[in-house]
Amino acid sequence: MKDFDKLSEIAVRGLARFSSRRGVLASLGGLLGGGAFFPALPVARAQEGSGSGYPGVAPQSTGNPEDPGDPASCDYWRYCAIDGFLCSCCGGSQSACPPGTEMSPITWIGTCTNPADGKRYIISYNDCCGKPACGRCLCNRNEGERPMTRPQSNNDINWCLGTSTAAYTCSTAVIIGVALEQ
Amino acid sequence: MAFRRRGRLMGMVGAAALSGWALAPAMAELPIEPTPNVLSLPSDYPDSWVYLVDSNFFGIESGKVIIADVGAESHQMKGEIGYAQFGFFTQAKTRPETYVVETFYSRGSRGQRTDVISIYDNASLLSTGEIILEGNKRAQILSEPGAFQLSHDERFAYLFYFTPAASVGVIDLVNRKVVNEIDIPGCAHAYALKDYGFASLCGNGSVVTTRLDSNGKLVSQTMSEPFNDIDADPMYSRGEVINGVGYFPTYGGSVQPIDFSGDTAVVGKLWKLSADEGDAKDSKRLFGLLKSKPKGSWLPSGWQLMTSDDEGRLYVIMRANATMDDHDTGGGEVWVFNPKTHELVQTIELDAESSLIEVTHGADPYLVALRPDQSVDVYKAKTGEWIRNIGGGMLLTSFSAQAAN
Repeated sequence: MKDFDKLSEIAVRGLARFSSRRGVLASLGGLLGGGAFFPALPVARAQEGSGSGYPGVAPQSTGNPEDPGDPASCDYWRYCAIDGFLCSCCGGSQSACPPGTEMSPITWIGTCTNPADGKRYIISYNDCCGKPACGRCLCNRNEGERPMTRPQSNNDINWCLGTSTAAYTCSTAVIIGVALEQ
Repeated sequence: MAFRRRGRLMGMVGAAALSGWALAPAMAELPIEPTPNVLSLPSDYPDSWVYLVDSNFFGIESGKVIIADVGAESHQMKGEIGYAQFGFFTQAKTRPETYVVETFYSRGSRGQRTDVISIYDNASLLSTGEIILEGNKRAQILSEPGAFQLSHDERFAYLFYFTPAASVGVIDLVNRKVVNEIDIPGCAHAYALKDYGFASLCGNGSVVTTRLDSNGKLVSQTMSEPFNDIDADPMYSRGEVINGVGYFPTYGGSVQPIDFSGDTAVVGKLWKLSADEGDAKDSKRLFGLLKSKPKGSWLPSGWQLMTSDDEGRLYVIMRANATMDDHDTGGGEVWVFNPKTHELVQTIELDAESSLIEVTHGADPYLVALRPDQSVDVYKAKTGEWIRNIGGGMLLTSFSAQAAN
């Protein structure tokens, strides 16, 4: 029964992701998508600077040359449309929430191109919830975002939905697959 | 020996005090000041007052709404009220009160959630009541004007719910209770219509009209034909309503009017935000305020990127060399249009890029523009003259402002 539940969960999540991905790809014409909820603050743009990281934030590496870049920098390839505080700067990582938080099961996804292999990966921008807003490494890349009328393509929503608290802490960028060629 | 020393010291102090007293001009003592001492505000705010709404993303549970007199030379900040966890704010015209939709947790960022509409008195800024929103469904999004609107007579408030199922709460502000919840699947927001009802913008590019009776009960729902290609040129879900007509910019640089002044939302004709549109082909007709017609690729950009003045002029933040992905960023100029003729009547070059503008009421209004450092610049709206900057840490992350009624 447990296995059946797990299988069902995987199937449903896969369907949801595939459906959402198709929607995103359709809406973006095969370009980019994804995000959390912050808008394009000019201050965030200023913090982005040249994309070489944040003052007072030490550079990071995935340790994998096939996953290049600095996850503590806004120009890291997975963050092509992220919008929020980077969990990599907040005690988590690009794919994990900080201790004591809860990863939101409801989110929306996009596709980002990995410069190492040129492939487009499906990225799930799960928010981490339950602690005060991290406040560190505010990053806003707004490519392909759509208005509130298309919530599945909108990053101005607090996606801490389905969690025990809607308090937003930070955002991750989790690889969940490789985009199919269109 | 000790006594003699103390006496000599006392004598020196006394001499110094006497000489000092002799040199000082004769002055009255400062009066004793009463405590406690708390100021209050007028119930009707002057035209130059503005609500500056600060979501405070670095401490989301403690946002605030600042009341500021942007026309004053000093003491611009008049007071503040709370605005917790992705709040919405609006003000009444028929009652001296304001409303904040907000969320609290019993233990800060954890514990029991309570959604509430907090009601504040204009003069005291004290909470005079609240309406509990059962079910914790209210949308937690960046503030958009359509998410929280009042009916024409300010009896009802219409509040966007998002769980992510979409619906609208109908709240009786007179009796201070929730009276209904209307599903709006696939749609967002509730722009108030004539009488009782609201219009919602939908993911298929249409608008849905919801009509209510005087008790807030559903009468009918009708959907328009899709009119906006959200894939190719999406319409912002943030519009500026002037005399009952909502003007919604598109990412690609047009304006979509939707008439909310009747019982049903009526979609108008799309027009272009262009220096060449309307009757103003000759730059000499542009009131002498436009140095030259803007050149290059300009697109609307910003969060609260549109506002209006009492004469019905439409102000739009424009960004140079922009792409559609810059839609929320902000820009360096404000273009002012006559929304009826589509004529560009003025351009204002900002001192710094802005993503949020508001114009005060009155015959000689002020234009308020948020700077990237979250201070606000104040301009004379009709001339574009920079007047002053107001900052000092007043705002942290602001996304909306409302001129005081």
